[in-house]
Amino acid sequence: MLKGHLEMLVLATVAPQPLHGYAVIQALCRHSKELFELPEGTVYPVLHRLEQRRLLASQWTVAAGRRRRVYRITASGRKALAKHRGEWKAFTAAVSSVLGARA
Amino acid sequence: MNSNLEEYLQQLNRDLRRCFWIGKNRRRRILLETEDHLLEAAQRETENGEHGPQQRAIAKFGASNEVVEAFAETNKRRLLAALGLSTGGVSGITALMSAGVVVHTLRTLADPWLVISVNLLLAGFIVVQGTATIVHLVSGIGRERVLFLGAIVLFGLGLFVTVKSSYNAWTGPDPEYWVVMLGLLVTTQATGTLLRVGQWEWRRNLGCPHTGSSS
Repeated sequence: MLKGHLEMLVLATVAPQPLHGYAVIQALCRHSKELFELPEGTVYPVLHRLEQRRLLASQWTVAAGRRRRVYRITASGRKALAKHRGEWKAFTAAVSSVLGARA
Repeated sequence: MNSNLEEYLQQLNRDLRRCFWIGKNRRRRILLETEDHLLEAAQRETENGEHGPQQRAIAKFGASNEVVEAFAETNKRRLLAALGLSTGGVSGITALMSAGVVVHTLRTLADPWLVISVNLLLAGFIVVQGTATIVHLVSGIGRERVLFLGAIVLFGLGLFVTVKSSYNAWTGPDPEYWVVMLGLLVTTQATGTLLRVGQWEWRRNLGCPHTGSSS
């Protein structure tokens, strides 16, 4: 279930500020109250895929003497995220409505 | 660097090298990002007083072959989508070019209806195959490297023969239409093979070949 929404979650995580891969994973973990436990290495292909689709952009920086790739959301990424958020709200509202309905 | 991290990165490098779909630049970037991630993760584990911080960081990152498979899937789709589009585009152009040549070469051999039928059949076959290749390669994707590369070579060869012979037939005094036909046949068969590879891989739900490593 998480896999299908991982791109949206990563976009939402990077949206407030540019982050490197490790920070993205930590933020995902923190915001989900450690509910999302996935192999950390599988988040990087998602970052690369989002960059290939121009929803994220990235550049090398240097931190602690090491090269580090920092990702930031693009204008297209913000549009895609807004669209995803709208769809997700409609979906969860519909599910809640059905689950909460009395027969 | 700790030997555990070094070993993991070396294994990751080997797995990445074995993967057909990941190029040199992408491999270098993946290794740099992984190294940075593991060093930072190990540092955090140490700060938290955990035992075996490097091993914990590696375990959380995941097996190298699984990481490579995830990257392969991303890159494969992109590369094959581009290849599928190119193949379809070239097939369409070839169909248009050959249609004119086939009219030219068959004009003296048969009545107009036969000429039109053969034209439509050949051009339609190529366009349909090319379009089908796009659809299947974008949604599917290929792992049978040998067959895949063989089909690419065959496609190039067929295309070359078609274009060259078409040019000769168009400009020369004595058109050798059978060479044009041969080129078309090879090109369409190669396109069909690419399509079949895409279908197989789509059914198999692809990935990079398992390397057997889980370090």
